[in-house]
Amino acid sequence: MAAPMVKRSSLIINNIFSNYIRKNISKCKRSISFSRVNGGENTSQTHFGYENIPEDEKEERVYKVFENVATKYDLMNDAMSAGIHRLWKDYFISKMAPTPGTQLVDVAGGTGDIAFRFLNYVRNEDSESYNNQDRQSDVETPPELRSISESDEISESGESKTEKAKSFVTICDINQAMLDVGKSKAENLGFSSETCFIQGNAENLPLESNKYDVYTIAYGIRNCTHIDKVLQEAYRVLKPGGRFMCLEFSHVTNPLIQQLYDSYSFQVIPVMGQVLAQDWKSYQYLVESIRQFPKQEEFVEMIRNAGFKMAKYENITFGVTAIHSGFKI
Amino acid sequence: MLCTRTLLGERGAVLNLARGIILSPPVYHDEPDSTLKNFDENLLKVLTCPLSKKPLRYDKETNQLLSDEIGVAYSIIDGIPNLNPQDARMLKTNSNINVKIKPTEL
Repeated sequence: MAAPMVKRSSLIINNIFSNYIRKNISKCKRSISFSRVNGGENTSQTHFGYENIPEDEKEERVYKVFENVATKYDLMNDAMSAGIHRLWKDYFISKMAPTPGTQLVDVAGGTGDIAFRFLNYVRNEDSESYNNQDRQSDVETPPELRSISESDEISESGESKTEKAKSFVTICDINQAMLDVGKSKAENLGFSSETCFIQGNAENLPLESNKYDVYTIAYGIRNCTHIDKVLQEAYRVLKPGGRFMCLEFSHVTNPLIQQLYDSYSFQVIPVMGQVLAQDWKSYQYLVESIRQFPKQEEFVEMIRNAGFKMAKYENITFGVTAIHSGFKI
Repeated sequence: MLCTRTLLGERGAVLNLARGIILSPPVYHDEPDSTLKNFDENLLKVLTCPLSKKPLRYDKETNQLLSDEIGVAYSIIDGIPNLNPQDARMLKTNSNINVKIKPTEL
C-alpha cells in the first residue's frame, strides 16, 4: 500500500538506473580494444592486469589496490622510477603551460602531484611578468582561441583585473584513501585554499558541463573500466577551447629497451612492492595493467572519437610514458 | 639544474627514498583539526549530482549531500564528499544504490 508519491519516485529512480545500466552495457559493446570474453551468464568481461574478470568487479578490485598503496604511494613512485616520475610530471605541466586564473580539473589525482605542480607553476607565473608573451607552449593556438580563456583579463576598466579568477584545482578521485593523503599534503604545503577534493567516478563526474579550462588525468585512465566514457565526461566538463591532457604509461617503441623494461617491470617492481609496501599483488597489477592499455595510436584515435580536435601524443623516455592531448574546439 | 633539484633537493626523490627506507615513511595523519573535517559549502557551487547533473543540497545534520530531484543522498567523509553513484543511498528507503540490484527491487 505504498503512497502514490513513493511509487512515482521509485519509478523515476528505476528509469534512471535502468538507463545508467543500459548505457554502460551498450557502451562497453561499442568500445574498441581489450580482449573480450562473454561469460556464461551474459556478463561482459574486461581485463584486470592479465586476468579476465567481469566488468562490474573491476572498479572494486582497482579500489582495493589503491586503498592498499595509498600511504606508500609517493614512496613507491620514487622507488620504482628512481624519482624520474617527478621529471615526467614537471614536463607534463610545462607542456600544459597554464596561465594564472586557469581552472583545472585533475581526475584520478588523489595524492595531488599534478595539482600542486600546477599551482606552483601558476604562482611563479603570477610573480613574474604576467603579460609575458614569450611563454612556451607546445601548441600553436591561434590568437582568437587564446582569447577565449583569457577573456577575463580583457577589461573595459581596471576593475576586472583585481577580480580575475584565481587558479583553482578540483581534484577528483574514486578512492577515499588517496584523497585523504592528498588533502593532508595540501594542508601541509599550503594549497588548501586553491584546491578542493571530491570523491567521484571519472565515468560520471559530479561536475557541471563547460566549466574547466584544462582536464588532466595522470596515471589514472588505465585503471578505469570504460575509457570511452571517461573521455566523454572529460569533453563534457571542459569549456569550449579547453584542453584534455593525459599522462600515462605507454608502449615502448624500441625492442631492445622494451626487453630491458619488461625485465625490470616483471622482476624488480613486484619485489620492490613486497619489500617496501608489503604488497606484491598490487604492483603486479600495476605492471600488467600498463601492458593492457591501448597503444599510443589507438588511444589517440579514442580521443578523437570522443570529439577532441588536434589530438596528438608525445612519447617520453622511449615511450615508457606518453602525453596525449586534445582540444575541445 | 631542474633535474638535480627534483632528484637531490630537500624534498627530492633521493632523500624521500632514504627517509622512507631507513626511517618510517611520512605518514599523513588525520589531524584532529576540525577544519580538515568540515565540508566547505563553497563546493556546492561546483558540484552536481553525478546522475541527474542537478545542484545538490547540503544537509548539516546528517552531513550529507542530497539530490532532491531523484531522492538520493551522498555521504561526506572527512570533509570530502563521496559522489560516486555506486556509493549513494536512496533517501526514502535508506538502502544502498547498487547497480547490481535488478530494477524491480528498487
